[in-house]
Amino acid sequence: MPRKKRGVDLPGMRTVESGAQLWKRIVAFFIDILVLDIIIIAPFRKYFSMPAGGIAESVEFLANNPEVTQTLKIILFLSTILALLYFSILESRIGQTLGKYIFKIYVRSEDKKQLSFWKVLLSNITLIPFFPFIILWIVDPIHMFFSKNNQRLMEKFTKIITVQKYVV
Amino acid sequence: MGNLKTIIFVILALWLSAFILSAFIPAPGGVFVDGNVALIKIDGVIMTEDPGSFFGTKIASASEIVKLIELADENPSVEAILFEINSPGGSAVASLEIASAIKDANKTTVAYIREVGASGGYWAASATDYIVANPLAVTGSIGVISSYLEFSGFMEKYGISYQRLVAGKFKDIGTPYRNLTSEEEKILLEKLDLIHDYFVSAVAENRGMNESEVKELATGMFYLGAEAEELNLVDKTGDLETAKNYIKDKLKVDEITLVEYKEHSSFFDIFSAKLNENFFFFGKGLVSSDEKPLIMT
Repeated sequence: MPRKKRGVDLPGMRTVESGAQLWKRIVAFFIDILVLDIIIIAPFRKYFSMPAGGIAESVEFLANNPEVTQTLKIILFLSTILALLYFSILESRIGQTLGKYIFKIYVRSEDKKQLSFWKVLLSNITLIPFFPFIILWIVDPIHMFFSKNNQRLMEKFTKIITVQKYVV
Repeated sequence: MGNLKTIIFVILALWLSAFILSAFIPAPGGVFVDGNVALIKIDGVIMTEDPGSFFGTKIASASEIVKLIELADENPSVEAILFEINSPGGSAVASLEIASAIKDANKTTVAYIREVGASGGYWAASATDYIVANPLAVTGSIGVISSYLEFSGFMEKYGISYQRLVAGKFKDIGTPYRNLTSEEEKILLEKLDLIHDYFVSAVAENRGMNESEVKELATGMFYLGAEAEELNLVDKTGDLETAKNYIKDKLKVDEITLVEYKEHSSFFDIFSAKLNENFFFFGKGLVSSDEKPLIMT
């Protein structure tokens, strides 16, 4: 829209998009993980704290206490569902999580159509901490470094792109 | 701004969901710990199981306490177990279970009797390596009781009679619906004496005392912490710091970190326990009247 200022016609503002910068995506992701740690993990923290011993002691302790392992699995399962809901609800409705909001980056479909909940959910299955999804923990983010628009592998697969907007 | 509102709303909704879900998870006690001394509280009347009532008497469940002792004992981070005792005693069986679990632990065990560590509570304390008691705490009371209310006079007044149908003449010994015969009274007292002897010898063995010495003290009389120290029933009078200092000396460390081991009851546990309790008494009323007086230490 052309705008008028003191009677002078100025050229209209244009918004252009490009793939979001890598550092913004990474920091935004860590902010989201921090949020999830506070809102999702914290209520479960009353059941346990981190082990003082090393990993070997923890593994041994878990092996000797199957009921503890079972409880941890339930907590992990519920936390994963809630984490997936956090990303899927927010990204499908407004295209942003808190981390993305802070850095003013968005997700949208490559064809610019409204994102569906299930599509976003699929793009975030990397968060599932069970086999075979854990393979994606490495493959999925590495793809960002080699992709033209800094897309994760699952984003490429689901045709979702994370963008940042510039006003010119 | 609209987006921020949505984000805040979703975050709050998820936090609430996580909070509600966490209440439904039955969590085992202890789990991982970040301290080197486990603190286990023996608080309330010692029973084998906690019936899970919403209100009423505080129960120290032997099953739960034994599980916590085992967890602490298995955890390589834990070097000592400190028991904070506030119990007037309870079931003889439950007290013995706790005392046995304490003795089986391979870590340094210390008891701190804060307010009351009497009877079964003292039995458990005696199984530890070292007992610290508040100078004004009530302790000792080494004795056995199995009293109960007898309703036969009350029932007679209201025209309710007890129809005695038993196979085996002592099957309904101790029923509250009739008076004890002298023979039955003698039998019950003999049983109490047996448990009393067992209790005395356990304390004697745990405390490294002569049985005759303990028997002299085992009149059921309670002793204040300061008196108990003189009688060798406790090692030292003091407070929690005294117990912690003993552990530091024993472990040869400058600092210890206490981590409380406790059973976390979820809403689901409480509801299911309450339901079980109600169904148990409902069923019991229908099919059974095999009451025996509970033997308490």
